[in-house]
Amino acid sequence: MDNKIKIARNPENLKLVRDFVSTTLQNMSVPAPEINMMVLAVDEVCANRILHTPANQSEAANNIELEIQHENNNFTFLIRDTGDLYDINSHESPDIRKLIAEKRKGGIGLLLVKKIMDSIEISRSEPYTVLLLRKTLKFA
Amino acid sequence: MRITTFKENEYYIIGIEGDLDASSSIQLDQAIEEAVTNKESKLIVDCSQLEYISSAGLGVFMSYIQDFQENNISLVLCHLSEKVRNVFQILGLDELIKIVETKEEAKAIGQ
Repeated sequence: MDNKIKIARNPENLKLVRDFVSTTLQNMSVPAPEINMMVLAVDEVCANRILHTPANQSEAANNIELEIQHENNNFTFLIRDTGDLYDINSHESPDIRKLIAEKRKGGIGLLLVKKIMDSIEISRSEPYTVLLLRKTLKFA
Repeated sequence: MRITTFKENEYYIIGIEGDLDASSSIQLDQAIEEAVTNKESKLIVDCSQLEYISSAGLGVFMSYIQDFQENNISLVLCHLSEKVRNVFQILGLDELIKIVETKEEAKAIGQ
């Protein structure tokens, strides 16, 4: 089964990403609550890449590729695009109460990803920025 | 995603249908903003048809908490699916935003 999808960098396409992750994980017999959380994490990262990366000129540069790999209970989500590298791990986790006091609408997406995933790696492999989200599930 | 708004006595009901994500959260923001502009003070968000929420949707609710406390506006969410409620719980937002089971309970809180 092909566990890859390529979408144009448009927030309207996030639904395609969520459906792809959901269907792929269902086919791997992952329980629904874990699917929901991983769908959310991948959606957040893709939304972040779409909204915070400047649009590029060429059509190829405006795509985001997602690949899901798994071995036993270990899941890896590879997200690749030609946007700028932004080190998610250096992003200081915000205090929710501070965000509320500042009436902010954003700032919690990456916090959700960090809560859900075991690790996030980001690297540059020209011309791509590559994100690896890893999660090991503990099945009953 | 689709947003519907209507009045039920003194309550301003906002219904959300579909997925609330980075592409659609602005519609919810506009609906709440409109309610505030119209001086509504008892807002109930009916989430019975809400299938998905991401941080963009959470962020809209989060951004009004302070204003609503200062201006004595009540905002209560009801009929959340377990899946949607779990997303509020990850960051503890379920303890900072009023969430109840039914619209009747939401009305009782808003009184």
